[in-house]
Amino acid sequence: MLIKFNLNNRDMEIVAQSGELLLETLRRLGCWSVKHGCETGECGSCSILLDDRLTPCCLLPATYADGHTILTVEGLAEVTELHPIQAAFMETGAIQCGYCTPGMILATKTLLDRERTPNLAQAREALSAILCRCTGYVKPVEAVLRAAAMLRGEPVAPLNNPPSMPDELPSFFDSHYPDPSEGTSGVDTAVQVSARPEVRTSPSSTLLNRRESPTMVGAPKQKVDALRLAKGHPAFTDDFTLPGMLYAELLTSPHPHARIRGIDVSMARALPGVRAVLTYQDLPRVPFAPGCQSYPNPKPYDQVSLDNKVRHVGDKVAVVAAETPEIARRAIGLIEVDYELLPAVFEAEEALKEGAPIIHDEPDAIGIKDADRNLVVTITANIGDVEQGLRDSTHVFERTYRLQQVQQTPIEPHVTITYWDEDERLVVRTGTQAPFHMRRVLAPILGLPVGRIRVIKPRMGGGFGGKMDVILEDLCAHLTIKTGRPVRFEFSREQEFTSTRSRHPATITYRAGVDGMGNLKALEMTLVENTGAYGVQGMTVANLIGARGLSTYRCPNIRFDSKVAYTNLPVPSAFRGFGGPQAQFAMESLMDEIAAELKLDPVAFRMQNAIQEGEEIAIMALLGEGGPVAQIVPSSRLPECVEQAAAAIEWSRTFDPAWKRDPTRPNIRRGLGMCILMHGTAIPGLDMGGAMIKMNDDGSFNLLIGATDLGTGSDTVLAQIAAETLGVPLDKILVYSSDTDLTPFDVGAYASSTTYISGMAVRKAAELVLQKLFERAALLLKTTTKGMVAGDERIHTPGGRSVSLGEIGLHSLHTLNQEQIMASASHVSMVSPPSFGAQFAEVEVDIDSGEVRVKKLALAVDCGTVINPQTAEGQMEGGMAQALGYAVSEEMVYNNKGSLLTTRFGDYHIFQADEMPEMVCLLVPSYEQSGPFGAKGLGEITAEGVAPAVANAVYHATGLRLRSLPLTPEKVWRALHS
Amino acid sequence: MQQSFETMRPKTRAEAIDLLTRLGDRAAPFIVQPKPIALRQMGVDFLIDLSLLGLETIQKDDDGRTHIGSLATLQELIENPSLNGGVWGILSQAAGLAATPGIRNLSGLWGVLQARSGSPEVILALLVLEAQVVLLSVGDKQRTLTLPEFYEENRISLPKGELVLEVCLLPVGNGWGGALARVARTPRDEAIVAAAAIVEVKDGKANRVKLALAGANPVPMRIPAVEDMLNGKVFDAQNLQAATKIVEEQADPPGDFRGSSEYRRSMAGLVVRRALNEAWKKTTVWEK
Repeated sequence: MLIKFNLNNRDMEIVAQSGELLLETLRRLGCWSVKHGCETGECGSCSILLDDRLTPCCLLPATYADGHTILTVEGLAEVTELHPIQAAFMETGAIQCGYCTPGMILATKTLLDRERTPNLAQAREALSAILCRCTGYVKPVEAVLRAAAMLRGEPVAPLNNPPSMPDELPSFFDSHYPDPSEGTSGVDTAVQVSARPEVRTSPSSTLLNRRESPTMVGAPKQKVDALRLAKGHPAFTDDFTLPGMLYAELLTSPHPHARIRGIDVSMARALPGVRAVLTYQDLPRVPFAPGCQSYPNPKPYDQVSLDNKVRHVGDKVAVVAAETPEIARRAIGLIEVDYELLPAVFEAEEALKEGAPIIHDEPDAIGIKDADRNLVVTITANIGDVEQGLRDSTHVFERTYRLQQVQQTPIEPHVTITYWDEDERLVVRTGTQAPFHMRRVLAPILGLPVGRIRVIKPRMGGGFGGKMDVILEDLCAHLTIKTGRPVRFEFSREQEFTSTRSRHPATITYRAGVDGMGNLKALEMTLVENTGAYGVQGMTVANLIGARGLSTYRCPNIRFDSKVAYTNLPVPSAFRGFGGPQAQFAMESLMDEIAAELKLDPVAFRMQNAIQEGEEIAIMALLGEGGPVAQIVPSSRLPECVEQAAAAIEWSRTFDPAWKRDPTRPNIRRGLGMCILMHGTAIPGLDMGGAMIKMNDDGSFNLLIGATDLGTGSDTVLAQIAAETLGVPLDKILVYSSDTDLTPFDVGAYASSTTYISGMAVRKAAELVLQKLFERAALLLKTTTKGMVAGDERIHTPGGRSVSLGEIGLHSLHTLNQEQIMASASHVSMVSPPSFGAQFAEVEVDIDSGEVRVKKLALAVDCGTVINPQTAEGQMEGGMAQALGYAVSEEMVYNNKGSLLTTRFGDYHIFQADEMPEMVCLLVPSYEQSGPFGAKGLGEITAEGVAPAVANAVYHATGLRLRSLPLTPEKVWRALHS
Repeated sequence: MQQSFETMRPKTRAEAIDLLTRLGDRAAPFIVQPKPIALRQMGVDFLIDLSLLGLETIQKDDDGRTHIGSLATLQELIENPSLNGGVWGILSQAAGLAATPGIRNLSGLWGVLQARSGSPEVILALLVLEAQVVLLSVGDKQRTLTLPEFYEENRISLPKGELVLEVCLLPVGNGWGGALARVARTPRDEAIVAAAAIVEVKDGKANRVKLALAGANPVPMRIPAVEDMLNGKVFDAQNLQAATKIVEEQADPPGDFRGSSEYRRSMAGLVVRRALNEAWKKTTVWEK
């Protein structure tokens, strides 16, 4: 059908294909800013302005555009220009992964077109059109208000200036906006207390050869990829097309457990336009563990690309490649499968019982501990004598906590494009958190040598652990191998829920002994973990649940006993925190319970027992992921974290019984809760990152890193480390990352390791380059390198002479003794210095309905030196937002046949901008000797404290101790009425 | 199962009715529900795009009735000044709860009427405001149904070969107060149970009461037993408690993942009590 419309001020006349969505049309026309996040309009990533109205265009047939005017982000500003809204999003750090950014920018435009001076509520309401899983919406809201000020022509202070050393970093919320009381837009409630990270000057040995105090480290620098994301440039996996590309679709199982007796694909294959249909009959049977983890991949190897048995609803049955998505979908509908239905089991405890259905009865699975009992693995660890410790204790406690299955829900679905390059090497363009592991895991599955595979990770629309496994990459590659053609394979939102990854449900039982002085004497954790249909990462997560749940507090007698069970649920795997959220909820609920029962102050009781700087983390010697490695706490500012977060939440109110009741709302009870946090940085002895830096003619540098930026800003942080070392501004560091052909190896983005491990590799490489710069400068200045320093894009001698890096670049490449100034370096750490934190929460509980409303969250974190406070705050805000859903609402719920009931955003419900509580982020830097410029990890600790803090606040408000998540209204109501 | 479709865009209402009649189950009007269905899962071969038929206007007639075109968007219900004041304010408030801003720009009252799940507040508001649904069929025949009549007729599916022309709101005089009440997992999540109430007060007592409830029965519905019981009475604690008891006794809710049957039954009484109480408080402005 011929349609005419105006797109970004250009009149268009095109033929809309049968069944084409407007989303697909716009992307076909090069509007890559219009993103696919769901098919039901609920995520808003596909938002456009249709006749000036914000509209999710996945809900519209292409023909609907006829006669209308459409604006996408591409139409906001020309190349080299920037719309003030785009500028505001870039400057405020409102962009993390950037996948939802175009939608947010257009939502902002619709608001500001009608309201020049929006207030906070209006900003939040406008952004509620767009779901974001990264930011927690704090900085996007600020971007809206900043953009409003800019559009009114008011001056706004720059947000990304370098700090005045050592503790005068510019505050993001320092009077950049007019006073709201004067009727102009501004932050009209305290969204956030300013982070004022102290950037400690590091010991002289770590600041060798720098002319001045740090200007890059500790500065809230704008993300290096902000421009492309704000402008919607083609940066993501799917923003890319190739001639002759085929489209893949997946047939998934409707049954939780069944054997495929027969499968008839003849009609599908006969459909014109179908180029390949693959079932288990067509692929070699190569058992593998799909987790992208370090070599050798932890067992079990219990999965093949396509099997003759399905083990959960949503499991893979067959895959099709066709000339169009439409043909591929039709072909899927033509495949006939004869299933022999098998009994299914969904609870881990049931699955472990004698007589339960055996989920992995295939003979070629490798490394299952006891397949006949659905037992994937057991892990035990012992320190001292727990039974004796319990006998010696004055008080003994036993409590069981239950954790639900939740999903990462990155807004960008899993999507992969595979093709043969001109040298007939397989290119896998995919949103993976671990490209190098991905390549190594894929090679045997595909029967190709590692060297014949190239994995490229473009920008990525969020991962949170959900993109750490081989999910669809193997099938996409199989289709390319089969057809010789490029293939694009993207999941629908429903498939995201049923066929990707999630967080492990777990049951944790603690036994704890406490002496008469309030000291922990014995601590035992028993874990039953449900790893769903496949064991991927199940062992590692169980290991980390034990490590996280038994390391925060010093205790002479510790025992860990765990079982990991198969069930017929969709597959859990890595999810931000990697066992930490489960362990922290149980541990920090337990500590609160003990304190309450012994009538001890919950903060003081924790601090009395908390592990301190210089103490050994005993359990890590037994449960280290990369093997047993004894760990000492090298740095901790936990007491300051507790102190500052307590002040932010006004913890003193906890002692005021009158505060707990609102006289105007008799059904409301108020409460405060807290917990402390500890999370290791990187996997000692295992995680390795490489970096390469080479100099260009003009004194700029290419920084090549294997590290994987999921949207967290790690590319920026690593560039800041390079810039700091080399004495150049950030725009002189040109970052290219995550390409197995062009960048050095890196394990990838997990274990809160990137800044710490990859950052140190960058630091080392930069120092090697710096040495070469000194040598070249010495040649040019006819002197020695002694006493030279770098700064202001020059190399300076002690005598005050200097030469510019541009001169050095030209001289080294073109003039004399020509050489490419470059260096590479790697880093692996034998220690895993933990970050520490304190999470506080304020809640209101409606005692009539059971509704829990979180009013305020305050998180203080010691993550060592803060390299970029803006991106660090973004991590904290986003982590808390995710954890908030874990605490009160998110849950994957199934019917009794194992079918997921929450298969769309609307039902699963992640928090929207207009329902977020106030969030306070406090950075409490320490100096970690083993990290780059003193840095430790941050990504995961931020997502672990909200649930226990909220549950403890509910206890404070109501006296109810809830030992399972989420704290839904019905669960609270039942407890209130029990 | 995902399915492809063709779209057709009739220029006249008669043409649209003809298409819908001729194509029968293979066609459906292109309507976006507040809880949208993916286009490829609508299960039809033809989508009939009604955007040229002038169904998006909101007009007030000489008799004080407001005619809301069936495709007037939920966002327009929020922004239209004539719907924002007085007791009709519960409709715009409900529209704000129905969906995200972007979806509100596409979804109208036809979508609300068609929905079998999703936020119930708009339907509740229409029920208590005693909205009428105007349908248009072959030969330019119009018929007007009350909302309960509309649902009674279309329990399984919506009218075949008929267009939902508009929803008509009857004039409501001064002296009314209205309120919504809801229970949900989060402030913006779909309500587990919700109620809408409007009440007219005369001489310090309830003169007319209209109450609707969702989440406590298979479909949203008016609760005449409570309305009758409260007529002529003051909304004091005793009478509100009596209302709660009636509702809880009458409730027959199916449970789902948001809330069990037992929880919904109990919450039904709570939201009814809260909606009535709040509506009563709002009438005091007229009493003064």
